[in-house]
Amino acid sequence: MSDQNHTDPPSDFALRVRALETLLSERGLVDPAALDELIDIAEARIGPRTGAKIVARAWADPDYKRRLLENAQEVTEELVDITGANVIVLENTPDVHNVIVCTLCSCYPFRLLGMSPGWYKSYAYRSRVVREPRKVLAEFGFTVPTSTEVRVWDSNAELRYLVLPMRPEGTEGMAETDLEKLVTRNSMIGTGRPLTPVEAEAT
Amino acid sequence: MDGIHDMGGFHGFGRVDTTNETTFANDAQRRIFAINMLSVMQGVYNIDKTRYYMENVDPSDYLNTPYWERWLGMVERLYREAGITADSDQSEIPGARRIPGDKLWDGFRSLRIPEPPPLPAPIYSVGESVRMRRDSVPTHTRLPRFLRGRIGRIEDYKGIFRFADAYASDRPENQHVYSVRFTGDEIWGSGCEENTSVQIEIYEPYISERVAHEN
Repeated sequence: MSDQNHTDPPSDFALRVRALETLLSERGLVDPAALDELIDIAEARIGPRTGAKIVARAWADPDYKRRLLENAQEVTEELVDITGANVIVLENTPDVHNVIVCTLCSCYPFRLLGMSPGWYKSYAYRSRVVREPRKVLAEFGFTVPTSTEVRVWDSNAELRYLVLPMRPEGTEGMAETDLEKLVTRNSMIGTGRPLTPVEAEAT
Repeated sequence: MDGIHDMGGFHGFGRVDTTNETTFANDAQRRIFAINMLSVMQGVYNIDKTRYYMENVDPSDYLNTPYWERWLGMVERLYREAGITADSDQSEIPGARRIPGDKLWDGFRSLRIPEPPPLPAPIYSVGESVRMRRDSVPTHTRLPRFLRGRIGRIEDYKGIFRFADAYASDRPENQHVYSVRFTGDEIWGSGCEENTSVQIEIYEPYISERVAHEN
């Protein structure tokens, strides 16, 4: 049930949120316009397309990739209107496949990927992906060969991680803007892979 | 603290609902997200404290309360403790500033993590094997239970960061942070999946000792 359904009275939760906002704005502690602005940032200005631009550039430009892996904070702003701040980029290789989680709460590289999806915050994902990552990835329809290490990064402190997936085969010579369309959000979390050019064509 | 939030490795939560993409289900969820983020940006309280307050609840409430409602409970408690209640007429929070809406985006988009003050040299080096401390603390910590007493290899040194355990109790303290990798076998024993590992940031005080050889 959502609050948009006007035939329902507001929930206890909605009333409490409203009471809190009213209290804080009456005391002059928050500017309601700043709250509107943050919601607009969350829903319209940040999102996985930001991460996709960075990944596509890293695929296309080896020097950019090298600098990105060394210090993402300084490099992301070259391409997108937002700093990576505390982001570390993790490169997938044939030997290591990286996956991110926050077992203790819900830390997520939201500056570059936008707000996290419900499943990322779910108890099932948080509890299981550190213990049985291959089973969890299979639930996403994704298999990593056992010759490849699955390395799960638990974002427990100040750093946030962004996975740099492997560039799909058959994309030689593709323009960066076309490469961008192959980069899925889940491929930057590690719970999926990028699209192939054929799949991207079909979507 | 040994709380329900520390759920890495728990059994019983079932399959991941990979189709659940919902970030916000209604406007009240959007508002509490924004109230909390703005409060952190304004310096009303720090982010470590939000995590401490979120996890310091009755375990059954944690499991049965929807995600954003847990945030609301945390924010209400933090403001109540700062003296902002309907019954008081307090309107000042020491150390906090008010960010107007038109100044918000620029501050948000250009955020940089400030260079922390220097510390004495780190004790451990990249390539060393180290054991995590076994003791549990009753307050906030970022060493998950599933790694206590386990041996990992230091893969990288990340620098000096705010020590979450201290900031959660309003004590400013910084610590060296290492990136430490633990094999699935070391953590989970014979039941582990083949060729898996967990890598995680470890504040220096989480390490109890250097271990002579690789496990």
